[in-house]
Amino acid sequence: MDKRLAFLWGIVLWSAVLLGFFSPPYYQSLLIFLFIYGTLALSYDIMGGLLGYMNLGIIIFYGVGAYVFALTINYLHSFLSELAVLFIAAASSSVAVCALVSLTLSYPLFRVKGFYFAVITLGLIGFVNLLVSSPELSPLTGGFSGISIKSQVTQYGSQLVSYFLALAVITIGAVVYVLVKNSSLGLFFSCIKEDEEASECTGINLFRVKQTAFIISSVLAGLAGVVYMWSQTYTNPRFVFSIDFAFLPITMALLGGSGTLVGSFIGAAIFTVVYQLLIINMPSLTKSVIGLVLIGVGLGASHGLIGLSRKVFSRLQNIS
Amino acid sequence: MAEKPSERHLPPPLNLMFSPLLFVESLIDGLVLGGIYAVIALGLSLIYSVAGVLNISHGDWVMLSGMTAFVLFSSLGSQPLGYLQSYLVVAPLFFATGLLFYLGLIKPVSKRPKQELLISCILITLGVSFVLQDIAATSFGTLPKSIYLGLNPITFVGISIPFFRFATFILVVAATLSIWLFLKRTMTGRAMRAITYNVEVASFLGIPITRVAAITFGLGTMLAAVGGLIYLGNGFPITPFIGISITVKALTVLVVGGAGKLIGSLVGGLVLGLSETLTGVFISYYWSPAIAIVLLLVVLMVRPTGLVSE
Repeated sequence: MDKRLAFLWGIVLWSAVLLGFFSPPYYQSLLIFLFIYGTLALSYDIMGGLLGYMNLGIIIFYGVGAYVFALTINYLHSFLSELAVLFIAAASSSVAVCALVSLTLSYPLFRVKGFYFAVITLGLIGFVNLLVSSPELSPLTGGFSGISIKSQVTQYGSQLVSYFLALAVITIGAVVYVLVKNSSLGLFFSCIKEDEEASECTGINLFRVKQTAFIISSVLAGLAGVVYMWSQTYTNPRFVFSIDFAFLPITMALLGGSGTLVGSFIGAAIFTVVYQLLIINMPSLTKSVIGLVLIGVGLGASHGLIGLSRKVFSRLQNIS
Repeated sequence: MAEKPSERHLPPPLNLMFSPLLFVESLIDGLVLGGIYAVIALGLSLIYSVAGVLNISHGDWVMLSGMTAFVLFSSLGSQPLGYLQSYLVVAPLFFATGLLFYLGLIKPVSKRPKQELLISCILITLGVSFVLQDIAATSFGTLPKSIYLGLNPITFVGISIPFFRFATFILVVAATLSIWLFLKRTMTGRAMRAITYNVEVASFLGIPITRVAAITFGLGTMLAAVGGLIYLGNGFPITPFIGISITVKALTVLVVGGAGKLIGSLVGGLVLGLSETLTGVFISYYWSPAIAIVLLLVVLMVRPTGLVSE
């Protein structure tokens, strides 16, 4: 089973590589967004699906990753002429900042759980939005008008490079997700998800485990932000720190099926395609249709499409 | 001597010096804003504590009631009277809508275990919030709407207070008192308190959980609508997209005051309204929305059960 599954994933990865070379630019950019959203959904799901903590503010780290990446590139590009070195330096600085921020935030955040955790992470988005677009910080971050990567750097980038970066990041995300889920850490996560008091009694260091999950998921979201910034070369606080956008990765993970690797991919794929079709064909109804989809997902199956298909499959087996 | 036109648009230098008059005025403004927050958050708190639902669409009901009242007000005319008449239409309408909202969308998922209930409710209410925003944007337009009741401000020892600030005070007190009486004196209110205390025991005692939860949802939505009407009456502008920020503020009040307590919502709302207004006037208008999250963090650090607890 395991070998067959790995083979299947290999085929998926290989076809993604081929798609990158042979698809027209529009579909390429669509796929880049699919990969970015998929990475975000995965990074949400490490907290929400495996640990059972609804982190509504995962988008904060996406934005922080994007901003730190752009800032570092703009600052360093006059010292480092080699593009690869520049990219690696900028990406690792965003990863470091995301890790540091999540490490700091984990101390106050994990004093609460459940409903309160969801509320406080939701509130943090607005705070970070204010902070980034504030007049005090706007010499650095560009305020409301946003930030862009300097054109001396972006002239080297092509869409194919962005495509493979996005593919690389989502592959990293998937590998990390599977590794976490199948390690002892993943076992701790599911213990905490089932019953926090009981798992504390068995000697699990609750805080350390939750902190680890938080850092892993925020670093992953930061990487998604790096890819986003590299492929778009411009962003502003309304794009990355808006509360409407914050729910998208969560919706994707839950639409596909929380707690599974495939779920996030399916959710991200469906969502990206549907969203694109809606934006092109009936822009004024986009929000309503997405709202109706959300209501349907909430009412229909709490385990997403994966759970639904499993249910249908087991029913069919019972009949035969 | 005529002012130069360029100087006329400059804002007065508010925070250059501390004046007691300004302090009192902003104190009153803060209390009024806090009262509005308290009424809205009271609805959210009832819904959360009785039905166990984290209602993301709560702020959108506030927005929708404001929009509806704006249309009614424009068509009814006769300034203050038309505004009061819109209460008679909007409040029952939103009670019924909330009732139907619960029966149609929340009741089917209410039997799920706690973690799944939280996720399902977030998804459903978020979906409802998106749909409401689109309905409001397509039927009322995206321009900000505000009304002017044409009432003269009251001047009292040099402090000029808009008349509707008093009206707000009376309305907030009336709404809170009537909810308090409802919870204390009626059978349904007692049932709500019993469910808040312990759902299982309440259902053993024969309380129809679903029916009471449905009424609570109606009541909570009605409170949101009343909050929206007071918000509109104070001359604040309403756009289709303010819902989510109101929800976040109401959630802050809920956590700061303590979930499921009437007095908690009142205290939390007043604390938030006062601190937002005072920050806005004396520190920087820009940072006044940030005070909510600071308050949230501090309260959760010091007293995770909220300011008001046994």
